[in-house]
Amino acid sequence: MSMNHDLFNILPGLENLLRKKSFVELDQTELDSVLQYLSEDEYEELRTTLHTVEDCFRSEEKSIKPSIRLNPALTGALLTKDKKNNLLSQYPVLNILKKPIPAYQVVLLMTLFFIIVIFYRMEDKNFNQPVPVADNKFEEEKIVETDTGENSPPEAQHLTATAQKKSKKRHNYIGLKEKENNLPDMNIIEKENRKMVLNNIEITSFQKKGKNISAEPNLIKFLVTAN
Amino acid sequence: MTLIQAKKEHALEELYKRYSPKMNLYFCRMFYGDYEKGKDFTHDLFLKVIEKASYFNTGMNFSTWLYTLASNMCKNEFKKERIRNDTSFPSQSSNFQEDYERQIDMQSFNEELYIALKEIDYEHKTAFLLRYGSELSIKEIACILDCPEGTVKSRLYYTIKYLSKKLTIYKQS
Repeated sequence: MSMNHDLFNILPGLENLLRKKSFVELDQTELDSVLQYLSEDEYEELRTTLHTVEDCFRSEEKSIKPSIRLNPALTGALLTKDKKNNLLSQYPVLNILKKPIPAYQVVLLMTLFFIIVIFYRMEDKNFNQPVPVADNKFEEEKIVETDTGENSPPEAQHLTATAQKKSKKRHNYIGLKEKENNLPDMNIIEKENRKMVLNNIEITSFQKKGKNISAEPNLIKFLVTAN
Repeated sequence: MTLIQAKKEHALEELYKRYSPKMNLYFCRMFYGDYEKGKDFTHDLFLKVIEKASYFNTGMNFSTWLYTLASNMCKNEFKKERIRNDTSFPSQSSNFQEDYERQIDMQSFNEELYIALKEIDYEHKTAFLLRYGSELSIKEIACILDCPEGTVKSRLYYTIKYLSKKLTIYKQS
């Protein structure tokens, strides 16, 4: 016999049988189905347990007689709640506090949705920004008079001059690169257009200075690609 | 319940008169025969009814809703007890007034029963007490415990099986 099976689900009427009929009172069909899973002793054991527990509970119900008089604290609580509700009727906006959690969830979701929409709109604006005709900004800056080092010893003057030359060269080279790298996010065609404009500016400034363009491998590369 | 929602005092009184004895017994059994604790919890339950009156769906069975609140209260209390690790067994405070001998038998059986129930987990115990203590239908219990009817049946069967192995007093008698 297998009492370990979940018999109330396997034999749907078993609970009812245990309550109403002893093993000897079972008819043939009931007996057949019960005997598949339980022996007579097991059936009687379950039945006795069920009956004793129910008897016990019934006698407990008779013996325990709680007071059915309403506690004044409960009436007080009801009246306090009444006052709170009056406040809510005066300020209907506060009713949102009465809403169960889903209302808050809806509000949160809507807020999140709007934030996302606004964020994407801002991104779109950035994307559709027109390419400026000229991206150079000329500003007049007053050069503050500084110590030119005329009075310093000749060795120091020579060192300063070399350092300035190096810095200028480096600046010229890095300037173009940096401009290219610092281009804002935009589509490839716009990026290429910008690169072309930047390179043209660079070539013009080289020519103005009377320098040889072939000395700059980046510009040579650009000219070859452009042609 | 609609009247409670409309803050009518006499409606609360009527509900209390109808349901407080049942709820008192339910709590008393859930807390292994601790009658005083049962009384306190019944009071708290009705406070909850007042507080949450606006959440009650008038199309729903009030008794089922009340038992759901009560079961949740017990669940929370058991969680707290587990934290406190309070294993003290409450004294039997039921005041049986019937046949004295029968009372002694039943009291000892009661004690055995509550000791056995203390070893069963919350879900099995609640299903068992709602079915055989409060005499609710399987469907109602499934609704209160928020689980399928099959699960309730299974819990009932295994609890009875466990108790029949555990309770020896009635076998001797």
